[in-house]
Amino acid sequence: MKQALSQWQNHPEGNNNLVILFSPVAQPNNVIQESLSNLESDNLLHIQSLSSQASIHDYRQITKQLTSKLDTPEIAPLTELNSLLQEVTGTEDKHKISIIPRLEWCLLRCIGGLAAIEVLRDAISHDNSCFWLIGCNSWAWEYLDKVYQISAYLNNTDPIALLDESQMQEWLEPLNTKIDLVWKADNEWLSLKPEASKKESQADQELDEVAKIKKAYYSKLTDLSQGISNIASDLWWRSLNYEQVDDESKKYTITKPKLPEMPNLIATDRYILYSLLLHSGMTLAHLKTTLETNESIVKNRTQYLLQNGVINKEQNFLSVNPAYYLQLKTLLSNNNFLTN
Amino acid sequence: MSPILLAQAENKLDPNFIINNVTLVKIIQGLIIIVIGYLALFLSEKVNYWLSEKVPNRFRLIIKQSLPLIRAIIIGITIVSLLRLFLRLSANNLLALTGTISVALGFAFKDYASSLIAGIVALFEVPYRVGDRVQIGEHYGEVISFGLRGIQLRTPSDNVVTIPHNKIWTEAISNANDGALEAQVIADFYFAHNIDLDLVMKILYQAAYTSQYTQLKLPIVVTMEETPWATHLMLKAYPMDARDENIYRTDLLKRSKQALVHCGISYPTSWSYKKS
Repeated sequence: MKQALSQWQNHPEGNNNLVILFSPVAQPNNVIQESLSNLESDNLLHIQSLSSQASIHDYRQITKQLTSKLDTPEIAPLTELNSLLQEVTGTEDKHKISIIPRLEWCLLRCIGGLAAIEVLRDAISHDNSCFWLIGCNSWAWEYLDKVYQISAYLNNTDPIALLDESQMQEWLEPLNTKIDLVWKADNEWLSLKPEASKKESQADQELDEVAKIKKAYYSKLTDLSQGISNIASDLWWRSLNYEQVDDESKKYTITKPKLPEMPNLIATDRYILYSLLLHSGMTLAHLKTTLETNESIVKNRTQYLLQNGVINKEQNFLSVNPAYYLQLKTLLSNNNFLTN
Repeated sequence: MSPILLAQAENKLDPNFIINNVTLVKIIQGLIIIVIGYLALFLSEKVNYWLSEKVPNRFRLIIKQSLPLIRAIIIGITIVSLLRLFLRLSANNLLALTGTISVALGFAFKDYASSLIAGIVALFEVPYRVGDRVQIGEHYGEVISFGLRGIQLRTPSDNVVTIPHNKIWTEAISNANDGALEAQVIADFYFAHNIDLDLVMKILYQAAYTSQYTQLKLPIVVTMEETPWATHLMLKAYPMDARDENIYRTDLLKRSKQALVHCGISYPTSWSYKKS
């Protein structure tokens, strides 16, 4: 972001945007908002409505609000952005920065449902006095690129970083410690990566048995989740077992991480799942609007997917279970869907 | 004439020289070969259908299209096995036999033989494959079976039409997807002459781009024609699966019409035709 901001400050006619791409099951709000939560500037235009759960995919409301906000920008004070700008430019800059944490929540795949994207596209290309920080799910980005060639307007993209084995361990280990997880040496961990174990480095050979098990576990977890934190956390949770020791305490052990089994899916399920992944989740009402299929069919199949754990429902908001994402990605891609 | 040539000439005329001794064991062996061939055909068809519906769409047509070749191989092996069992297949015998069969088929089963040969030609020329959507004469549908004598089409009204292969000699074969998973769908719209074309075209493009069935990797085009009674717009797009052709067209028409009505777009009327 620093580099993109710097480039924009030095060449105001150049790129005035940075798009952070993430997987459809990721939770990028944390990444984007954490990086900006302590930033503050008199110049920050924070489009509040876009992060509001109530208006997700409500394209008419979003378009209306966007149009009014772009005409009369709302200035939200954020402190550290100012210092970041000062760090980049050496002086306090009067440029604005607009943040859209999730671009895919500003659209709904239906006629008229892309109006907000048109408003944003025009605003971004016409107003170089504002820097745009946009988060977007990579499937929605691919879709918008097909429909609007959006990468011609927003050509500064940066995929969210994936976790490697050591980062995965660093991230999950405190949780394991917190629950007093017992790493059993007599389980199957050592056979997780037989080909790798043959080529154990000197450092690996010096590890104790538990450390070897941990290494094998996190290696497998990183491999299965492809470094996507949401998938990893779900697989970690699924691999936990516990025994009730007494009324108050539990003894936690861990099993080999594995992807859940995919239930039988019919064509309608694939359309539902693609819609949920494209939009990073939505309500049943929006799902019906975007699919334009018989209401009872959508309801029945959604119920089937919920019961099989492929999708989750939280306060009427449906989203794909991260543990199924990688399998679904392959499945949908093989069935001619536009993934990434 | 040497004694050997004389003997050969005599043998050609002797049917016993072509046909092996027919024994009960050979008849049973022949029946077993026929049963095995039939079972192999039946099983290959069932397994092929089951497998093609199980795999992702991308591989469905590849599996389906392998069926005619598998059938041809099974039938070929069965016929050769039977011939070897009952006939002495030397070069001379084969020549004499094929000549006799050709004459017999030429007179008695002219059309059948023509279809069989056309079927073999169709295997290599590939005017249609299993899974293609073709128009032959007045029949349109998906090729669901590629047999020895002909193909079977499943029409949009769910009828199964059998068409002999020899149609490829005389009829034009219109193939919508030619082995691909996608086939173009055209949705026709007729409007009054005074409509806002920019708005209408935008709605039509959005209808295609936002349909759940649309294959976004292929182009979407709206074309226009003027007629005395209406402005005719054609929305051309591809569904992800050619089998969704009709449901896709319905989806495009339904959602477009809803949006067009909402925007107050007018349709041609008999009055507007008289006026123009």
